[in-house]
Amino acid sequence: MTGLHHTFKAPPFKWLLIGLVLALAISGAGAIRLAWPVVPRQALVGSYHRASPFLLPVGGTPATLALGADGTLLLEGDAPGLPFHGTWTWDTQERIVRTDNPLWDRRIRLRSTITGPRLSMRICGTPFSKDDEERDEEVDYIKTTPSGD
Amino acid sequence: MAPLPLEQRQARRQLAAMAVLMLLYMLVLALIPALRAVAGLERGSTIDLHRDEAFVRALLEGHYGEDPAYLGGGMWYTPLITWLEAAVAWLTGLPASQVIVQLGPFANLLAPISFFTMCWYFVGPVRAVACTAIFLFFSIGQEPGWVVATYSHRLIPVSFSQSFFYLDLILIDHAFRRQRPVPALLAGSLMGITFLAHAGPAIIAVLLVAVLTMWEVSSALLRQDRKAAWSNARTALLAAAAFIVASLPLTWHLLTGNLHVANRAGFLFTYYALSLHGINVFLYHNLALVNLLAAAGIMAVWHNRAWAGGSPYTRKLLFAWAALAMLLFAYSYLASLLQTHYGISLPLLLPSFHFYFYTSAVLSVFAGLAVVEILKWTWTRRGSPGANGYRSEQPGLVFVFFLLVAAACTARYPSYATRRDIAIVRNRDLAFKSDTAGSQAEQAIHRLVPWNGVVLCEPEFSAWPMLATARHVVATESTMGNPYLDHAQRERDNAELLQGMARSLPGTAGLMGKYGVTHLLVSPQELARMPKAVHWFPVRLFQNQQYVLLAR
Repeated sequence: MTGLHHTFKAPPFKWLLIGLVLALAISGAGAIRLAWPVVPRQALVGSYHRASPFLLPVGGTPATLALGADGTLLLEGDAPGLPFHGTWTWDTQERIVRTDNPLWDRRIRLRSTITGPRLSMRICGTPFSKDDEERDEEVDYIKTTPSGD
Repeated sequence: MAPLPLEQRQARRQLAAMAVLMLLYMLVLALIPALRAVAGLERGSTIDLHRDEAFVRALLEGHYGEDPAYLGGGMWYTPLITWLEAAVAWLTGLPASQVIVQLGPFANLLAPISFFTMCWYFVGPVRAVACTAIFLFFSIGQEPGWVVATYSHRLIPVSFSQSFFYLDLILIDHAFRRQRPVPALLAGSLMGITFLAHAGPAIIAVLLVAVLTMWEVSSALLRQDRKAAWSNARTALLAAAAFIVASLPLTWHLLTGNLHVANRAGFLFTYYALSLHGINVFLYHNLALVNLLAAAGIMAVWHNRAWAGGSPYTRKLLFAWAALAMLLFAYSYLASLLQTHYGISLPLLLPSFHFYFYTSAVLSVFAGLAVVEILKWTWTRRGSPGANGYRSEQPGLVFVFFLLVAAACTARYPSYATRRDIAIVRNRDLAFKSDTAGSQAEQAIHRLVPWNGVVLCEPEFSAWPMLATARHVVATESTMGNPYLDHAQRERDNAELLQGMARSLPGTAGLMGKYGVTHLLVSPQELARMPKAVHWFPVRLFQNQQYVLLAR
């Protein structure tokens, strides 16, 4: 016990340990804040175009999407089921876009990155309940108009 | 061995304290998104969880060793995880489905803890922190959690059982170093327990013992050291004996049954990105910095530069682990390809992704080692005062290194915490939760059908709601079915029986008797197309908008 006592009470190490605990607490709090920023519905409103990820096939997803301030959703592109005109609602808690069309419902979500939240869409159109393989690759959508426009 | 000087002992304790603090920090960070992923859920949507729920319910109802899906079938799936779930369900009184989904974030914490312990044992506490940071936050990327070795919130056997494998490695090393009976027996026993958790890690652990034994015995014989050769062989034999005894709760049921694999569907399952067809998706996920670091780590270990202490078996174990996992993956994929495309049946072990999973685990170790080596190299190149006297055990240096690791974890965390394995799986679970008709049917089936009952149902109902009920069917989902029973025949008979509900068929009565069918589960729409169903099943037990349950 004496050895352990000396180990942790030795002045330089004691401050090192306190410093590490503080640094980890700050770092952890920062990480959590970055991971789940509160994103209001208004911040999502705007037009987006699909990113072009290297190697990932994105066929079946819209080339552009627009989340209207009035609740209209417009998806455009060459894929089956497009263009799609519908309505959208924002689930703030789960950070997903809900629509009344089963093909697009729950497919658009906000994922966090170190540079900020990004809108992304699940590429595979298979309904969740019929996808035991979990083909859940996503493609990002880049905003082309400022929020609220 | 002479005791270490007090100063050195103190420095080691200080390092240990800081390393444990880092582990706690990383565990808390990993646990938070996992808890968010299961918040408010009473059941997971993953089909594996339905299968496990059936085994838990069978155990709680006193039917251990019996197949909950096929009447008369024996135990075929590794039972350890269902023991744990059944024990918690029994102790808490919570439904099995809720226990399975809510226990995951906590039970699976054992994986990073045992991974960290294993790394500490082989490469020391500082490197263990780097390796565990890679394992937790960097290896997973945007792939499913059941493909990559990491911490997962889902209590599925592939994620849970890895914990035992990492501890196996410690005991295997200990057994070969000590060459005494007790360590060998302990190693074998834990490998047996690992087999009860999942066959994948147990296969790799057993092969690791075989490889080490062959290596050590042949080296001793070349040196003409017969005593050492026998000592190594005895270690392996004792471990093998202990393995058999410890795995008896499963192997007894397997060995006393018919071990001919009649249903290969489960073994042939291939993760879509691990096929030639999905190579672009595989590259999309794996052309990543973490794998470049892993390659650098392999080079560093190969050239024996990455070492500060550790065991004489460390390099052998790491390389043998990597080689075996990759070989087993290649073999399993080849066997699947040959069967699927050419009808050639090779002996099958497991779906190939299980071995890819353990490849990714060892790559996390190598990547972590590379991180430390790169920082060491950077430090010694600085030419700053004291750089020549660099010692990786200086608490001040380690403090700086741990701050860098924490900063890297923070930068990675937003992407990690909202990765698809968390967010989309939760999304799927929430969609599944909204299927109240299915939940009602599942509860009704479990309540109204006795254990010996057999339900005839449409194929799509065999996974949900039937699979979770622990009630028998004529044919279940092929990848979730008993591999020792002829699934194809059951599927054909199931289809014929359903046709017999639409029109009179001569074989219906015979098939009803063959499988002991007692109930029928169909949709109301389908029942309207089955005029003969009321003749066979005149009693309506349950109905909602999606399901009708009839009895004979």
